Amino acid sequence: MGLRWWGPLALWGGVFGIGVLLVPLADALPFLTRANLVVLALHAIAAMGLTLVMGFAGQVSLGHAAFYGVGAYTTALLTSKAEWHPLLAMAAGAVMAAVLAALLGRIVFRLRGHFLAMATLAFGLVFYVVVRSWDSLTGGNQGTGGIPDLALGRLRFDTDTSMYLLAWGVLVAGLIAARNLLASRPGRALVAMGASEVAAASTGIDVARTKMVVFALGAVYASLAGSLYAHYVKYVSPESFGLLPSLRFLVISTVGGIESVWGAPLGSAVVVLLTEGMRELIPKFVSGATGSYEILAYGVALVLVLLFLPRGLAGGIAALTQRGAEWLGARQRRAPVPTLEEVELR
Amino acid sequence: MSEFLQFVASGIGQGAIYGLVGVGFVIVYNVTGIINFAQGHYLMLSALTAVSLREAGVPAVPALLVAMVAAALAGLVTDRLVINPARRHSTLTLIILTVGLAIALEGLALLIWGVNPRRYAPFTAGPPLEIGGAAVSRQTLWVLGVTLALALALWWFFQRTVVGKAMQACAMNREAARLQAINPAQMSLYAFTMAAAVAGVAGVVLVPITSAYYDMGVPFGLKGFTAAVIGGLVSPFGALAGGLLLGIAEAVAVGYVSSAMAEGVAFAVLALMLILRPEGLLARVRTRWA
Repeated sequence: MGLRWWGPLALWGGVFGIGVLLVPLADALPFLTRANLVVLALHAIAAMGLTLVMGFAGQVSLGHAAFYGVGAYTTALLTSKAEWHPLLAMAAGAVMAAVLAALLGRIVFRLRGHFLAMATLAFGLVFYVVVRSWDSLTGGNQGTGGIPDLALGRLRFDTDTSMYLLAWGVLVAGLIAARNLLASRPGRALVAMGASEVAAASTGIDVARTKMVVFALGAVYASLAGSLYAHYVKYVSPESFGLLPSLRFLVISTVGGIESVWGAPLGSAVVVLLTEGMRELIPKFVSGATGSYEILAYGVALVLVLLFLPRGLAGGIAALTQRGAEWLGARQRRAPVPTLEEVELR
Repeated sequence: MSEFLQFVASGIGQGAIYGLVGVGFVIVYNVTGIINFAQGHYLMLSALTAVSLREAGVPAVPALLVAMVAAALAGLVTDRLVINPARRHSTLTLIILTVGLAIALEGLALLIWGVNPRRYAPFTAGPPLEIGGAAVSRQTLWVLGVTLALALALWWFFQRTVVGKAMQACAMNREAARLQAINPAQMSLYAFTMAAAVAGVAGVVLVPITSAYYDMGVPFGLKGFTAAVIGGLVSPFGALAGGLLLGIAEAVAVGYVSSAMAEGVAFAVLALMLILRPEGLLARVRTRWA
């Protein structure tokens, strides 16, 4: 192993280590459980896909949970009814999600930008309606159960902790994949597109096609997270894939920051803390509050972050790092504020 | 044929509401370039405010007026507190901002009004009227009458007033409008307020037909958007026509196929429009709004 391996290895080992350290942290905090951590990791994986779509293709998707649902339902049906191997079912879900996304993208990316937002909103709602009403296949409102534990050889992921560590591992793998992608040729095309579509197109990048590919890739991230989710809860029902989860992914990506792949895990952590905290606090202030009132927090967080920290937490941290470096006199002043990726590359 | 007429009669009221929400999308989109996701939520706000005031014993006319004003104020606040501070950000950011606003409004409505749907009685009591062999509920006539009055008022506003013409100018070319001393930020304020007010009117006349509930913002917003897309997103009157078409299509689908279809129709229409005719069915009116 050459010297150049040690840097990345330390980085990713460190990131995985942070994930491991979250376990005792969750145990110490009164309103967090290890189950919350599983949710944190799974949502971060799905939201990372959305981050790629928003940050680099410059498109809002309001139906991201549908792809999460495609993964979850494919895994659920293939492993419980057809008794496929979990990994095979997971791959099938990813392929389905990618194909669906590519089809949707083909239709919409020819149009003016923000049509995608509405079209994906409609797509998400259609997915929800179809899953809810196709009783014979999906079990309708009742959902479908009997999903086996995820077992790979002798490894069984049947506890909160083991599932969390697996999901965190997948998250780190997803981060590595995204980072490597962004450093590759198509990835650089993507970054160029994120900066300026017109400029990218003028250098010969097929903007519509690149957008479609990113959209499909984002769907694959969501689908993988959905498959893991299905194995984790062993029972899937339409509520987990409706509008609210889609909005949740949007909030995670935006709050974390869409210009950096680090945004998704940061955003997911904040949203989990916010949701669980609200669940503790709101009933103390508003008696008899019922329903999913965390949406109020989602909405307010989204508006506040975009108004005061438009580049999200990852952008904020990158700016702080830059300021710190300037303050120490290590770097030249007045350089444009970099993204986290750029901070790291230096 | 009489059966078909009956479906038309039952769909046209809802359709007019979709159209009114669509008008709001068109006004805001053309003047500012933003798709305001909270458009359907102004309708929700006015509907629930009106129900609360009626339940508190406020007489009908002031209750409905206050509810409409509340919606218009929500639009005004949207522009000043959310849109205007972020005016220099990208369109993507602005759109996500309106999504955030929509979620926040829905959460607020859930906290204030809870999950149960509520309604009040139709404006005039009595059995449905028989028109051309179809039974038309009295509230539907109210909806159509109010829609017609609003359409005329909008036409007058955009054709005969200086502010209306300035907004049209903004819609045609923002930079050129600015050169004519038209302030786009101010036009944006008017656009958001007007769009919310129109949705507010739609909300109060709608309640006796469908009742009011906290999460009605998204479905009505999406259908209003579909109506606007049918009209090509360029003309308020195109949006109204699109809304009527969509409402009738929904009622026909419910009548001939099944009630589960109703939700699907709007989405199918939206998808078809986006694939086949993104410029809208009525896309000849590019430059003039009336």
